[in-house]
Amino acid sequence: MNQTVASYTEEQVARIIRDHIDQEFLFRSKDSGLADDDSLIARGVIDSMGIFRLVNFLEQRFEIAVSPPDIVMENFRSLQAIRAFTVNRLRGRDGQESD
Amino acid sequence: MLFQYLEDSARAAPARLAVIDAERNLSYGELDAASNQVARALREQGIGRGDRVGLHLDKSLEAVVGLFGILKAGAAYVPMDPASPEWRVKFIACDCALSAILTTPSWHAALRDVESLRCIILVEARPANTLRPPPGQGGPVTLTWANVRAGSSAPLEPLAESSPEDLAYILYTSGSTGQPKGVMLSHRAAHAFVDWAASIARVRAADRVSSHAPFHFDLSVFDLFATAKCAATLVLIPASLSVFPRELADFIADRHISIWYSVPSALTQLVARGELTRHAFPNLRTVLFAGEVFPLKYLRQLVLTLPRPRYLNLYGPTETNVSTFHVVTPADLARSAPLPIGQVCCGDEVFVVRDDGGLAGDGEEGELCVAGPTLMSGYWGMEERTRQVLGPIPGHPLAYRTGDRVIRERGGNLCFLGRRDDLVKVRGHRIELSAVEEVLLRHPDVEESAALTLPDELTGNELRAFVVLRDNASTSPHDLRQHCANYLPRYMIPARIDACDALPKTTTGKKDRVRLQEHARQRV
Repeated sequence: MNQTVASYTEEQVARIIRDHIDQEFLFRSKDSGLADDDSLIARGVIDSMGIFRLVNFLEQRFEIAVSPPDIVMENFRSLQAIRAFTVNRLRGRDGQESD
Repeated sequence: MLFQYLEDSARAAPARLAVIDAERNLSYGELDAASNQVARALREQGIGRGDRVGLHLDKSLEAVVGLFGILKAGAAYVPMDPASPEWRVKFIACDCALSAILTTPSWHAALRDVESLRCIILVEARPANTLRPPPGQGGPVTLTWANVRAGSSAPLEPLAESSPEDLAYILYTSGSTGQPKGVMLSHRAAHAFVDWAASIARVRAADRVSSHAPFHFDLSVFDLFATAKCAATLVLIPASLSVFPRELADFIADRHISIWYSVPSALTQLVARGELTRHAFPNLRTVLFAGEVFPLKYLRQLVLTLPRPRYLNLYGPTETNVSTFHVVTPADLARSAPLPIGQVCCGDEVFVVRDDGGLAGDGEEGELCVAGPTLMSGYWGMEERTRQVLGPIPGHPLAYRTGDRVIRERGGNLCFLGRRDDLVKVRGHRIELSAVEEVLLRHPDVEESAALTLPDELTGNELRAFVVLRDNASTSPHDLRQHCANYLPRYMIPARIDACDALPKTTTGKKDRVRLQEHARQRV
């Protein structure tokens, strides 16, 4: 988790995303205690409008490009998935090898 | 009665697929038998004609079985969004005095103290027959799905008495005070719409019809009953796919959906972000949309990308099912004015009433009023409110005043211009802005509140709010959204709440909505 990608540590990426989700999407009592691998979709945290607000945030905050083929369940299923996707994009942006 | 669509199709084609979800399916014979079991379980608890039964389940095969079972018992179904806060679910349950409810095990404790409930049927997401009813003394009888499905599936004794005026369902929509109001629809009203809609959409037995709208949304009435009437197959669209347009496009192609019905915003997302050109969609014949205005820019793109299907714009508030429709023509796509809502249908009559009370002629604006068989029976328990909107108008003794301002174009097409009140649409959902403001005012730190929408053609309207906080209040916008989430369904929670020192007012002291919109636009 301490690897640095595009001037962010993976920990920082994780925290920025977690804070944003906490602030913007978690406001119902049943949202408390959301785990990293909980489904954001099945739990109704992110809906059809929320996904695009989240994508805008990632694009602006991390200066990465997210295109329609990226907006799929695999990349946005959970906090963990969003983090992995973002880190992957940051690596790509930096010309590092992406996995 | 609406369940006869199912019974007729089950008799004619028992082996044909009635409903499929992502993994499972039910034939007409199976759906009919299973809904008999639900109806029998309800009748054994003394529930039938004149009762209301809550359907508090995510869209699933079980929810479809439950819905038809409730109707077969002779009761009206009351669909409720499982994602709604507890306050709202209990408000609805008490407001219309539910006799029974189909819900999930995690809600049992919250619902068992609703006084009117005589029976709770617990349904798991994927019934595995391992659920045991939770222990408890007194209160309503609790049955599990396995208990219900263990009963006889033989046809029920026909209802001793029934009338097409009996309520088929009650749909709760936003009310101006922050409390939802129940729109009562009879079998007669639903039949008038479904019979017309199945014919105009040319639903055939070989069709696969999408079920995109949740059951508490009136678009689902077409999906459920036009499909059953024509012995076609209903395809339940998983809610998660609405979030991912690309995967939704794949699903539509893979499941060979031939008739699609949704709010325009779902189609806008599909055309803008679904990469539709990856598929040919050879099965897709008819695309229906309703619930809000379809931005022409995206409709144009959609028709250019998928030129083969017929596109139909349906119009009607929940109170009238559907009362006008318009088949999209190539000429429409070149318009600068919004798409017409078209011509009257379903055997209804429409009247455009000017502000001075006279009937509007061609080219004149007025309020759209609807009379005819698709009208609601009224608002549950709100006789005064019902009388305000349902009554005599120039030209008809009993019409519904929609509150929609329209104009009749030359050639007879009706065009929607806007609302007479503060009702707005967000992705097809009706929201009375005053309801959001009322809920914000319930917070002890909020002195004044204003809600508004910011239009966006791609994502649909965005709901925003401004508040003036009491001196020294430390409440954050996040706290206020949490507060809203205790009372309002998700779509009514403002995407952003900003605190300000004072709300802009007009010279007459009203909230200045134009300046509020400017303020909101500056805060992105």
